[in-house]
Amino acid sequence: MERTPSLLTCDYFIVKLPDTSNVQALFRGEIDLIPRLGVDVLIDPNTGLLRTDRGISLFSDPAKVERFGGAYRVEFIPEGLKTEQRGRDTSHYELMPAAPMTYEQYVELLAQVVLDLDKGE
Amino acid sequence: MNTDNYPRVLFPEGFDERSAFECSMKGWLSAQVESESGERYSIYFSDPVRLQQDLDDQVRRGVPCFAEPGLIVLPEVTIEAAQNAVQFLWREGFFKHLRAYGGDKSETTDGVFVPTFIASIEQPGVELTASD
Repeated sequence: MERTPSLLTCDYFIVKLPDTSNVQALFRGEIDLIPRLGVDVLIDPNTGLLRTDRGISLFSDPAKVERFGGAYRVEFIPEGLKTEQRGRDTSHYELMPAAPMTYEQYVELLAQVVLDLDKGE
Repeated sequence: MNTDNYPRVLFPEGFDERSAFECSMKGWLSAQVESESGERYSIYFSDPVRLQQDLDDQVRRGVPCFAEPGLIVLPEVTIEAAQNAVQFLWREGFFKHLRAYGGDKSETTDGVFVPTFIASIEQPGVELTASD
């Protein structure tokens, strides 16, 4: 018996979205998540690895970053990264390496960060 | 944009208007100062809040202090404040006590990549050269 494709018989994949329930509402001013040496991150000269007390900027107040192309909410942060409030402005956070790592590893983890491009404020 | 006044502050390559905004939010900035003869000095700006946060971080890790070569503390880390501080400190002779090195634009220390520093930013509208 010939199988006729239909909605009832066709195969499909379930795409499991990351659990974002534990992610604080943080926003990035642009889609670009490329860290800048000397601006976002510093390298420990003794190890050649990134320090864990610096990272790219995120904001809990989307109004702070709208002028840089929109405010995109962070939907997912992979393991290996951490967010901490830093600076005088309490709405300013940094997305830092959770442990010393190479610049390239940091870039790879940042590439896994999910921004909600449809919810630009 | 006049970048011929010395000493001048050199900012990390790619430093733009967003960088200027974010470094004020972050409260720190790594930069260099270049003299008229081409000597360069590594400096690091921090505001008091970030300095305290960084110190707290270090102490939590068991490090007894927070230090950066050429540390300069500003009330707020802005381009203007950084340039004014450098002009003031230059006149005061502060940089005579720091080690200078040549003007290679891609400095490498023991195989560790460090950023390239430039005299201008990538978007117009922000004056980088310090006023006298």
